[in-house]
Amino acid sequence: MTMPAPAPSTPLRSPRWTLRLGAVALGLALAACGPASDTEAPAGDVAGTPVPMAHATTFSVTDLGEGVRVVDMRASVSSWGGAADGPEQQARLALVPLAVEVPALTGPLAGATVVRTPVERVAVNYTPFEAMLSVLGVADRLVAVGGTTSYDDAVYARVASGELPQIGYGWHIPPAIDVLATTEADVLLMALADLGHAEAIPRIEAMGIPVVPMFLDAEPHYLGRVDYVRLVGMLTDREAEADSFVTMVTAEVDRLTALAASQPTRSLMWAWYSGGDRWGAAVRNAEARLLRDANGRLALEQPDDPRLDARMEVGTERILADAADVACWVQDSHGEPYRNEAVLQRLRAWREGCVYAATGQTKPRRNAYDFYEMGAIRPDYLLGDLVKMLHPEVRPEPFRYLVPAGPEAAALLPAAP
Amino acid sequence: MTTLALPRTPSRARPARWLLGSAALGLAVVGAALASLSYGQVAIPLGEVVAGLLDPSADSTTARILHDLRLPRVGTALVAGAALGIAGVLMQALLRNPVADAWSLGLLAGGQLGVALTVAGAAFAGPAALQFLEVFRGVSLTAGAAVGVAVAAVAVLWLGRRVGAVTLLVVGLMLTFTAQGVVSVVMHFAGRAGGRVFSGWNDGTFASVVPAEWPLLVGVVVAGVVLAGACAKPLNSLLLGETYAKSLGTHVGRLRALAMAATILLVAPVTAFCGPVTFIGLIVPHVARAVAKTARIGPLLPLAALAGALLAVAADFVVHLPWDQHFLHLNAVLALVGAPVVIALLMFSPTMRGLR
Amino acid sequence: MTTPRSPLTLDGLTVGYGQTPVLAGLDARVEPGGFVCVLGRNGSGKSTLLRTVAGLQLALAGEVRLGDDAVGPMPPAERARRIAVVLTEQAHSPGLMADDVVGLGRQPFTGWRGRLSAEDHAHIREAFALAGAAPFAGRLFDDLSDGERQRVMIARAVAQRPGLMVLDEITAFLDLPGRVEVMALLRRHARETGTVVLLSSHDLDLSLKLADAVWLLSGGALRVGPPDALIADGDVGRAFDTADVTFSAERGQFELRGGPLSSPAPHQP
Repeated sequence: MTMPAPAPSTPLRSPRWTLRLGAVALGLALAACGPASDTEAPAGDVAGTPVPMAHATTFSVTDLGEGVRVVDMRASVSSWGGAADGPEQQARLALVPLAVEVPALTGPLAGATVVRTPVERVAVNYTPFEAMLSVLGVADRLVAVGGTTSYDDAVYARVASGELPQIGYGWHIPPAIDVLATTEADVLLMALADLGHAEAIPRIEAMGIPVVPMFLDAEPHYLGRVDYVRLVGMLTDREAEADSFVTMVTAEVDRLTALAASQPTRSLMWAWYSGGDRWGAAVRNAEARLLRDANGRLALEQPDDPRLDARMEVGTERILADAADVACWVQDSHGEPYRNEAVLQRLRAWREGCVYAATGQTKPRRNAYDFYEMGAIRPDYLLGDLVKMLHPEVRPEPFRYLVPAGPEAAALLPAAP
Repeated sequence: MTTLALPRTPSRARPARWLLGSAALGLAVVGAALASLSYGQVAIPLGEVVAGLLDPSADSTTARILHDLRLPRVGTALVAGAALGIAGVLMQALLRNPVADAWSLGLLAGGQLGVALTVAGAAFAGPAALQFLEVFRGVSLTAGAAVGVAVAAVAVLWLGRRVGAVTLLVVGLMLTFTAQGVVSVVMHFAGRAGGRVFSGWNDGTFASVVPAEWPLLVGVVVAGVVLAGACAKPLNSLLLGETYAKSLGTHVGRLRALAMAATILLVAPVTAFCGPVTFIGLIVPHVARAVAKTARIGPLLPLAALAGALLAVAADFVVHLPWDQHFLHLNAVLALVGAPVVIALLMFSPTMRGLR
Repeated sequence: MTTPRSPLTLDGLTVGYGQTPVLAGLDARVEPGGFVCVLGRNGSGKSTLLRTVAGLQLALAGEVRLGDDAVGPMPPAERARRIAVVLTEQAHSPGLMADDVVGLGRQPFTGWRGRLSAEDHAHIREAFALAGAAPFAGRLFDDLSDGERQRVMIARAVAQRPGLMVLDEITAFLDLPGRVEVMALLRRHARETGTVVLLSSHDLDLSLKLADAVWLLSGGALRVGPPDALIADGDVGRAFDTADVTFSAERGQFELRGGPLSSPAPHQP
């Protein structure tokens, strides 16, 4: 009875596309889906100099000299609000500068996907990758995007005019391979919303387009997502820009974390109503870490576990029992309005008016949300907002993503019938 | 030829069966409701449940969970289950089709379409209209669902006189697929916010009804029950077909209109407020007939109401058990119970003989 | 409770569909307790006539009277108390019990809730017994054989205690002993209660043997009379004879032209 819908794993996204009735059995689709099989040697067997990454754990880079890099990617893909399905995904990439001859793909390089660098034509299926190219100053290298939901006006204009083809309605479905073929892309930066989408990878590579699977959502630290900018920097030959970007974001995060630490800890929950007495709540992993770094004590918190999704579904009862007394409440941008006033009045955050929704910086006419675009690689933006929400006196700057959503905001809406 | 032995007297046996069945079902409903009130993600001892029911002003968290969450939910399940059960009896009698109900014949699909068009219309009108829709969810989606259900009901009634039982069933399923196809296209244009409004509604649940919506839900359903009661006697005569009904003094056209109106009054508000709820209307009439050992509508109505309430509360209880990580969905639970029953009916029901 | 004994009268009756008459200007009268068989070939208008007599469709002209009351304009509720109908068409409905079916015969006499009184139950029991349907009480209607269902339907009509009982082709599903039994019981019921029983059948031999009077439909006309008279006058032959088959007035059965049928006739004298 429900619309078939793919499962997303955007950070802190609403559970609108939660797996519904019929529970799509993700794990069934694939047995050996990773581009590299499990029997191959693990990362670290390559003779070369490791390129350190401050936080990323889903990929590692080894420098072989002459600008040749081996990138090992590995991550668990978990469905929304659930556990990781199927085997860990693995891929080995060899980034080889155009000026250098491709080395023999034997030994540790056997089965590796070769990407000639710098890439000049980049296809993506997920808006954060557009943001990565933007901050590196190479957004003009985009040749295909996932859909028409770019927040960036310049990119959107190119999509709307048809200059930039779409390879899907967003990233919820596997890339449209026929469209992709017409783009003559040097590389596809691909987010996997669903383990089943890994099936598309060998087919795309058979057309001569190397695929870089990007496991942003599997990073246990939110700064691990930012490290992906450095990977894109290596692909596009913008390493210096990438390094300075990561340094800048890290410094800002450190500054905000220290600022928050100077204040008393306050409790909060990050939960949004998804209808039918169900709430999605951020409870662990990267999202929980960000809330902790804002010196918030997270209600409903669960132990970190990389094989579990950062979000969990809970009932209203659990919210009332465990989160009724939290000081502040953050909602997702996509939650449904919760309409039971008696329950809302039981929530201290609601009574005291400390309720926010991450609905700032949106262009609803075209379904575009900067929170899911630039926000993915600028965790300092949201961190700053959280610090301001919890400790308003230390952060006078205006909110970027958070907007008030408490009773006073509800009062601005038309009066209830 | 006359038989000397008089037939078994049904006059004594039947009311006893009916009474006993009603009492047993009633007890089961109370049991399921109490279980649902006391157990969920938070366990409340039965003693506290009873105490909480007696003292509505208690302010503890458990008391508020009981009053603000579980009572409205269980109450909605009781009302919705009873309404769908009665509607199932009406539709099966009206169309003389053992697998007729609001879902199988596409009435719910009509409701889905109505809601989808409402949402899409609002989405085209702009974000402000969509926001308005969210706030006025009760009124606007109710209207959309009710109109959709009513239009589908009239179409099915019209078709039902022209095609056989199984054909009608297949038509109903195709109508469902058509509506879902259209819904999917409409939602593509309604955008993300509109899609959220729709899919939130489309996931059947008894938990979304807020106290302010109770008068409308209960009021319309009660009107439907009264009308159903008024239709009960003439509907009996329709069990033998139109000509016999006419020969027994029934205004068949008027009866069809009244019974369908009762069905719409019962199904539309439930669908509007709870989303599409499947299978209850389909299998509950069979339970009622098995208990009462009769197809007479009068005794079936209370039995179907009780059995529907029981099935709804029990399924809702399973949905709200403290499952790890995920929630079950109401219609998934109902399908697990309902689908095998429907298969058995199609295969073994003597009524389907010659219609297959 | 018994329905007052009323004669059935056709007075210049014209029946048909839309504006097309099938039979025109029919006059006939049946006294209370009369058992009348309506005979005619396929398409002769038997069903149309019976439906009109039962008030299920309007007469194009003239009228049907039960006692002093015209059937056409009779309020449906009153008509249901005075006229019972049994048709060839097989009823079916989910979960329908034989008891429900016979109980429906009492529906025109119950209040708005349809609750059956002790008296109603007595009538139902009696009707079950009279129609030989007693063994089927308590069984699912759809589980019964065609013949068994027909008996239950007759029991329903009996339970209705009508002044007029109209039965259209009801013996079609019965075997020969069953047909004899059913027609005999209907005739007895008519005699005992004063009900007028009007029954159409293809069973020429049986009808001619059992009927008090025969309504013979042929060529848009109605001939009424005792079976013997109609046979003797050759009316039956005129109605049914074909190029190959002829009705023998002497033997009361069909014969192939040029000699008696070689196969045993249903009713050897």
